[in-house]
Amino acid sequence: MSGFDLAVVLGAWYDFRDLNNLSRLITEWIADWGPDWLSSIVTGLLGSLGILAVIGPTLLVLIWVERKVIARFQQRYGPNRVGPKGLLQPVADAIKLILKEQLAPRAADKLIFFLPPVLIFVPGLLIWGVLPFGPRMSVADLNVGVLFLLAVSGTGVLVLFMAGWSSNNKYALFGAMRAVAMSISYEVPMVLALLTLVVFSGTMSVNGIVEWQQQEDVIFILLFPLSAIAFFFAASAELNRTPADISEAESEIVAGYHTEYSGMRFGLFYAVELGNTLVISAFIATFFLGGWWLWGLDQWVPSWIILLAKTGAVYFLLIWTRGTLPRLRIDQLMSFCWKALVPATLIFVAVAAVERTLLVTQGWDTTIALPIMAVINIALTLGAVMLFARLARSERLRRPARTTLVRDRVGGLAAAREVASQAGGGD
Amino acid sequence: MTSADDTRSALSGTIETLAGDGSEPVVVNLGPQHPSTHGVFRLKVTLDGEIVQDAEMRIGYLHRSMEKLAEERTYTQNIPFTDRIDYLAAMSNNLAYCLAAEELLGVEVPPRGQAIRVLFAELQRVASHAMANGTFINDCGAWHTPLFYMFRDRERVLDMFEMTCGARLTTNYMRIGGVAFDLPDELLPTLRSFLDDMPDRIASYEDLLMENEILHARARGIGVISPEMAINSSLSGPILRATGVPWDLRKANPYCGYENYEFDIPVGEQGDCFDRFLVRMAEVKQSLRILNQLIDNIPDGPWLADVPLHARPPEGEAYARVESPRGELGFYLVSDGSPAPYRFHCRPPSLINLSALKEMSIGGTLADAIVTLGSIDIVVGEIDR
Amino acid sequence: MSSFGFHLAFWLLAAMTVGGASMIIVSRNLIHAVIYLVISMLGVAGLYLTLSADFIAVVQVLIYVGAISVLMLFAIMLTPRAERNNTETSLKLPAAAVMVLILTATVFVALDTDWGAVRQAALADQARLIGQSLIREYVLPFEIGAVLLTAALVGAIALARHDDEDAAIHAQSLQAEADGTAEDVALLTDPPLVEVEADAGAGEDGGS
Repeated sequence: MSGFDLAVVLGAWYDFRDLNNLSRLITEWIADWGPDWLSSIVTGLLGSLGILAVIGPTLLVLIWVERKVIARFQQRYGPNRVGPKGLLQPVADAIKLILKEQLAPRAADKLIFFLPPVLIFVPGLLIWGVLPFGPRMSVADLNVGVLFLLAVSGTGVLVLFMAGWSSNNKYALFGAMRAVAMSISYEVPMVLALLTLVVFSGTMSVNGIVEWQQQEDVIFILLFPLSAIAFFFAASAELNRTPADISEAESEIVAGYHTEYSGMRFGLFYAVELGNTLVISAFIATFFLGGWWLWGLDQWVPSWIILLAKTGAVYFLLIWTRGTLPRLRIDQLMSFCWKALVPATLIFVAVAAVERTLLVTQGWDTTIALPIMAVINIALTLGAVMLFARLARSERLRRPARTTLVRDRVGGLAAAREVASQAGGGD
Repeated sequence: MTSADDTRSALSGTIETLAGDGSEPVVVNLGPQHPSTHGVFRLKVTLDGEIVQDAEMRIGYLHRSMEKLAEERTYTQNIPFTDRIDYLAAMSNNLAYCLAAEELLGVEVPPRGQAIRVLFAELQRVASHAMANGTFINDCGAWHTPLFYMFRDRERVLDMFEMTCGARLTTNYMRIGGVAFDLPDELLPTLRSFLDDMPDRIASYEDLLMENEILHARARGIGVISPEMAINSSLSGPILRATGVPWDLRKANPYCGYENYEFDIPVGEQGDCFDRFLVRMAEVKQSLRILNQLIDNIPDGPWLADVPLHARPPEGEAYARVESPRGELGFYLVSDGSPAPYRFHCRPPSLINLSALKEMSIGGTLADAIVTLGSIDIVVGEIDR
Repeated sequence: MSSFGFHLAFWLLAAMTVGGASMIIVSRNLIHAVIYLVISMLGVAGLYLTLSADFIAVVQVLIYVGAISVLMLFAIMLTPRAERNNTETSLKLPAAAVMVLILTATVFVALDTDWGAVRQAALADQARLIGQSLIREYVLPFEIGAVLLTAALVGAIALARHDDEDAAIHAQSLQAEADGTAEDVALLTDPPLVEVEADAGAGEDGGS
């Protein structure tokens, strides 16, 4: 290392590379005079407040970012009227939504109808708890963090179902059924994709997975690209973003499960959706891109800034797919999940298990073995993707869609047959 | 009993067994206020799960009684009504009406007027197809991006409309006997740059969309209609041509001197939603081809024949039809010798094309029905009038 | 473990569990009952957490809250013409009898168990221990469970399959689609009512 000794400032409260220092000092100070239950409550509150303080403003900015980026994809300016560069547009929107009348359908199940906009926040916020912003910066570094993530995100479905069912609206019910069916299906490849990482790194702690990547000097997207792709797609399905936004497909079922929610209740659903997108981007960055670690740069730049930068990159990718792709149909999404993603990720779980066993039992040097495995896995992924593309496209490749240009023949069926036979003969 | 009848009875048997299994069909109202009904059109679908069992179309929410109102106004005063019948292809509607009125009056349009009419009719086709394709992909679930790309081109066309006649959407530009104003000086250079840019633009759209796997999955084999069925249902326009029938009024029954221009009729093979999209893309290219032939060969001379504003046509009737972007657009006028038409009737392609929606959507999913509706390219103003 | 925080958490969670469970019985609406069941399940998961059983708690949420309750909601929604109210049935008395039996057994087991083990230090790395015991000591029950689940999966697929006639039509339409004979697809979904004479719809001369 160069002349600057990192240990000099490490541990001091003003060392903003690790915000845990500040919280630790406060806890120790309380522990000096107060009961120990107070210090644990204060730590929890500090962490939660920290997360809320990050999410609140970030959501406001994110709405602007998403609209601006989408607008650029669509060759327009996006919001640019309220505040500098339109930055206050989300605030204006929120004020408008709060002032709007809150309508509830007369036939709605009142209790269940009022709960979802609030309840939907619970899983969305809880997930942040296990996200490591730095080596020691996570509110709760559970040793089953990966399972916690899956469990908590799975409960969100219930809330969507409550919203869709209680509205007493057919669009909402369709949206809820689609959301539940999709979420249950896509949880399987999501779990399997994470299982590859858990099997290979031998830990279920989120921070443990990051530390494994740091220790082995490799990021998981290189080792298990297919898991990364499967997780990305499954996450975009769980997040209801195109090409898998069928549960609130605007052109089909208006707004899906939140069709009947007006005013700020809709605003809450919208905010949570963005928040979930952000946190899932953060988890994709953590699991597959190395999280807060970046080949030693995390020694110099605060680790949470590195994580946020990676999160931003993943988030941009999600906006990109949203701005580019049309939506798939529900049966196509389901069959893609069960016939493509699940078998592929299942195979990669086996691959990971074999490679892990080889590493452990043979005692190979990881600096040599891991790159070789990465190359093998990338090749396997490419093979799987190409095989799927071949199977899915075979029928279409046989008959490419095209138009025939007809110059001199005008008429009805006879002309149509003649044109068709000529076009067929010319092939 | 033909084999077709056998299939139908077998199919209905299947639906009965499905219902007998204990599933309850759901009736869902799409519209009159719904993001994908392109206006105030109501589609009542009976669903078994996501499968459409029955579809019922309800129209009339935008009825403005135009045909009756037109009987109280002079022939010239009726032209603005035609703008508002198909508000996405006002020029084509102006043209069809004026052709009918000219036939009634026996007016000959000067060559410059003819050429300008062709020019604007084809520009209108480019604009309307841009809109149709954009909203179609929107209905497939793309998040407005293709729509905005297509709007760029439509915008340039509308700019040209504006510089010629002052209006962008409801142009009111054609007159009985020609067109209202001559081309402004700046139009032809603008048109030339537009024609220079468009091939690149279309190539980029084709790069983006033609090979899009999701678009293929959503639109191919969806909303299929056979050529027999299309002809039986009296469909016209891109929907008919997508089934493989080479039927285009510009060739079958040339008007405004279309016989002098060289262009082809693009036809599809399958008659599905994707073929309709392809046919529209190809038609834009053909329209640009016509415009390219036209731009240097606009004859000089008057653009409007001398027709009195209060023209009183002799007693009689006339029917004129044009190939509007949506299909065969016809106007039927009956004169009793007074300055106002005794009967004013429009044959709207959207209404008649829409009638096939039920045939196309039963058996598919709800999402397919939406895509099919988008591919028909309806304009509710034209359906209800 | 500080005793105050621990007791507060325990009583709150116990109230949540028991309260939710009672509301299931009281609730007249089946969907509401499932929501109360979820609350009760979450309370149980919380109790596991106070016992430092992270893994069990998370699995409780993952399986019971995330999957079982959704399954129940689906069963209620997809059962046609079923009563969605918690109406009176003739099974009330037998159900009560069974419940009393189960409650008695639970209380007996609870009183009979030596709870001293709980006071020992929390098990570290439970997930690993559970996994090892599943694969080593209890491998036979584990495998039997796997076979059972596979059988259930196959059964579900068999139930969801269409009958033969339906499958035949489906296969036919798929084949037609694969062959690219679009007219056949149209025939299957909706056959033309009238056999069309060649060029009856649109004349060769173009009219007028």
